[in-house]
Amino acid sequence: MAASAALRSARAQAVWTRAELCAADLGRAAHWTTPSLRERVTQALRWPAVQPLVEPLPPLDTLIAVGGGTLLDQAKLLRWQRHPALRLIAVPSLWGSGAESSPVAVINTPAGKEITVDDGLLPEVRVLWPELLESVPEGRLRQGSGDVWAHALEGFLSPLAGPELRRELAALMHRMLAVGLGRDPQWLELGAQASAGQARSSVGLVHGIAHVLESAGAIDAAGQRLGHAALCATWLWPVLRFDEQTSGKVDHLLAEHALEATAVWATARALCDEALNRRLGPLLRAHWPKVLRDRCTRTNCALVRPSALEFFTAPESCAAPGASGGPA
Amino acid sequence: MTDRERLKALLIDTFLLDPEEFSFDLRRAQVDTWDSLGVVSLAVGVEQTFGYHLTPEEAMSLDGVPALVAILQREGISCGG
Repeated sequence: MAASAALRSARAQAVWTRAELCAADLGRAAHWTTPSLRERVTQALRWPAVQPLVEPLPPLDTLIAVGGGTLLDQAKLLRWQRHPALRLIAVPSLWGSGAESSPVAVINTPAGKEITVDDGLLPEVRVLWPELLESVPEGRLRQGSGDVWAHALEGFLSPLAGPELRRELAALMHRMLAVGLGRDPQWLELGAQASAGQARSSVGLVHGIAHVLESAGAIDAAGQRLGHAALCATWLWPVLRFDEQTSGKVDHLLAEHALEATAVWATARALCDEALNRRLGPLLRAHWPKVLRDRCTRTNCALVRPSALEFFTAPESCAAPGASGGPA
Repeated sequence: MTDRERLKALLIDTFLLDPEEFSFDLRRAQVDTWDSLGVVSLAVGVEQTFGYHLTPEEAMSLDGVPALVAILQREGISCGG
């Protein structure tokens, strides 16, 4: 791969392997890596580590950001706001957010999630380094797959999606169904493509709920904070049911693109943690006005009225398929 | 429920209005949630409620409730007063 050619364009993104990264001429380069992987990445790369949140960046030509969606989005914003001449290479340490492949950055603020969209946020290169995921627990990977599904499905159903994008995302979902929800490095590429796709349309209520509940400090039964991927994974099924019952578009679009509805429903169902959703019901109720105003909610494929809260907090909202008139 | 009542309920829900804020003379400039995302929500809601698909040009050109009523009336949906 011609690294220098890929680096010339801020809008076209190249995809490298770890070997290609290691062989590239990046000028003055450094890596910014999430703490849990810093030692390992420092051993694997010849460039030094930097920590831009605690010390100023030295003069650099290239910053290699290695981590999850939060770190990658921070790196995208850092470059966009303060170092526009810097070349940015994104190495995801988990699939799901697809931050490495989208011109979107989401950061937490005291007022909630702040979303920035600009072509200048897209990293010039993303790197597939699947060995970084070896220590990630199965549950986290499964939640990441839920995030990928939420991107692909909501982007596909979005009222802002055109026919070409729908064809692309439908083809992607066919591949996702074939891969299944297990530990498979193909999810790195699937996640990147789903994220890039949704950035060309919009996402919907799954993300609206996830953004608000994450900012509200949602926790699981063990008292652990729930991240974006976990919330997307568990709310995908009830939102899909709501969309299906509220709008005829879900069934129509799935059929039009030869997507086997039963397989899509089964995947969404498998990602849902019913007990968790019931536990989150009161938090959802308390923050429902914010969910309604979230920009993702407002581009959902079905109109989300204030009264929709009753659907999501009803005991049967996560019930088994067919139990309450939902899709079988 | 009449079409006019359904339209009122749709607009109140779409733009998150208090019922007393609503009137059939409401202009887009008076509604802070009738922004570009509100245009999308409204188009989705009109299609769900009345089965009419607003074109992007129609949805973007709406400057208030009367313009929407006029389009729906043209399509045979009786929302007029």
